[in-house]
Amino acid sequence: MSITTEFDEPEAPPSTTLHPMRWVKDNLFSSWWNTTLTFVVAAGILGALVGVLSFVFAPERQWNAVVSNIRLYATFAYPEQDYWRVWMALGIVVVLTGLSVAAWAGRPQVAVSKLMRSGAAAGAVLLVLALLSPVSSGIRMIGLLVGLVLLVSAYLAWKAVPAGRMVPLLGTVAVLFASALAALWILPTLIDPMEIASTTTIPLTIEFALVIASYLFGVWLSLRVRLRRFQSSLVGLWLLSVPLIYLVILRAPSWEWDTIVSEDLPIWLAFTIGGAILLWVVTHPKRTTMGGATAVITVLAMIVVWTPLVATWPWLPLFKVRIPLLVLALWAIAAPSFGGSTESRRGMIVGWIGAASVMAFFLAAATSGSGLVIQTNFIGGLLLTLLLSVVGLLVAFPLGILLALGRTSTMPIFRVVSTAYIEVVRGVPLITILFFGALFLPLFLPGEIRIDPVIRALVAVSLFGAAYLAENVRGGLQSISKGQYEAAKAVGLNTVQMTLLIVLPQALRAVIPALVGQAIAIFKDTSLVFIIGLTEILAVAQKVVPGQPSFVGSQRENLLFVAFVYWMFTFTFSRASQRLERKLGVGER
Amino acid sequence: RRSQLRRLIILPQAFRIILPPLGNQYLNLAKNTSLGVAVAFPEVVAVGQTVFNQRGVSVQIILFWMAFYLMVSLTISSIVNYFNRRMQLVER
Repeated sequence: MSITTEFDEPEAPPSTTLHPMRWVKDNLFSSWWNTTLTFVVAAGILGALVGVLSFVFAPERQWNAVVSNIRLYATFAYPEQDYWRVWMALGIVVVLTGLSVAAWAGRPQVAVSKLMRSGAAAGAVLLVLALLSPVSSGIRMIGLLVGLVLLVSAYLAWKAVPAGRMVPLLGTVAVLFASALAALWILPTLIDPMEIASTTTIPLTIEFALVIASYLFGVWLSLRVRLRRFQSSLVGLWLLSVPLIYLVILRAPSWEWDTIVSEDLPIWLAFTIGGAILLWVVTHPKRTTMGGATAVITVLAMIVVWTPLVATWPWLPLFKVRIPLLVLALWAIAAPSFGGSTESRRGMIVGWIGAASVMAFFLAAATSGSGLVIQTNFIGGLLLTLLLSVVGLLVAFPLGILLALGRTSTMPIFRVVSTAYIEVVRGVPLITILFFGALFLPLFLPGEIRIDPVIRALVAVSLFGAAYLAENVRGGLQSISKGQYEAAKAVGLNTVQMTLLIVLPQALRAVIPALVGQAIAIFKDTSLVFIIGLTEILAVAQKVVPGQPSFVGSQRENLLFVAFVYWMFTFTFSRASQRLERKLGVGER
Repeated sequence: RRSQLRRLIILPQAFRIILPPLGNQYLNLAKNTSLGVAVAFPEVVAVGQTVFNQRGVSVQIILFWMAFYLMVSLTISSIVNYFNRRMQLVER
């Protein structure tokens, strides 16, 4: 009996990566029916592609209409001499973006092979486009050459670089943007009739430098400060930046110093000091009757001030009193659940002082006249679309969550009011609500307050979005099992804490796809505001640019451009939401 | 015969799931007819706009629009809800 001590070479396991040729053979040409279908569909796609390309590159297209009107598309009628304000607003957004990327993004890496695959795909697409489009032979040669070079170099780099090599993603994105910026500087010198004004290239370069600088500063800061505090202060800064950009930077209020000294300062002092005393009394740990009575008196005062009879008192500047009083009343009602220890009471009072000061500043800015050359409707184009969608979503999300919580609540009055609001607003198209906001809102407010048409559109979009988002959040709320509520109560959390810490995170995480879909729909629905007279990007494309004498009849090019812009934003949005879902683990058990 | 059987089993179960979103789509379609005003099609919103541009009765027109669309929406959703209830699983 002999024992073999030598064994055969073990076979390599079957390869798990799929060779592209094999995939094609298995999926596209597996049976007769599949093969015929492949040929028919390929012929259809090719025909459609050739048709689109021959439309886009035909010599009689007036792409000049789009290229020379980019500023109109971006900020429609913003006065030229104040354009630095737009750049300043963009600078604030850019700095906050750099800091946020440093605070939240970590160090994402991307595989070099994936980059090379994207490069090869881009080269192949360029080749196909160059082959199929009816351009002049010079441009076709250039396109073919660039595509071929890209394809071959990407393939060679793919083979040369070892398999698992990773590069930082942010660095790659920064390099891509830097090369696009360099192209913006270099191209006008290469291509003869193209001209890009230095008033565009210089600010864009400054903004790019600001992004890089703020990202590096954010990385430096995140090593020194606790991450949670950094992130929550960034969220606060983002929220503050919205009214700052609209009311102060873009609107350029003309500060009337005598009004400020006579009205705003006394009101601010009264609210700060009075509110601090009120909150100190209300948040007493023993929940005295005096505390409860003060809260009730505040709510009653707020209700009285909002009724029309107070509107007849001439010495009270109503707008500046009603809104802080409303916020104070809400704060006073919510305070007892958060009060208790001296530390939290002090924190609450400091928070109130900060909030009251910020509110007073923004109210003073909102009620003083605009210092711009155009008084109203100074925002248009892409700026208006972004402003309406961002601010509309910012207001609609908390409101929608509150409505959803109200609709599923056990208290009948909240349930009835929330259900009625949601059903009425969802049963009516957005155009009707836009007209409602545009025509009714001035009737609700005292006569001398000028409400910008933009603010009316904002209110309408926010109210509309809140109802739809409330339904999505309600779906998420219904997916949470009873055990979670019972466990939270067993641990000793009160209702507010249970909702904020246990229920809402789970509910919102479950419905992220639906929420993002609704957000994308709201972004696209902002195009309807042209009906109440605002000129956003679609109105510029349809009415303004074809109305210019040198570009009559260029509707189709403009509409294609606007469609492409919308697609860019919504695609980025949905890709970002996919990354968020993967990060949060939605859909996995 | 096998494909017929598959249809008789798959479709009822699929209908149960699909009916509420389908009702949602019907409602969206009914409300999106209001977009015809953007292409100068004379539907309810466009006609109402003409009326209040000529007569200045904006409040009544807006209330009329809301009542009209609410009626249409509530009718469609009650029909869909009726079929939904008939198709529902009998829960324990």
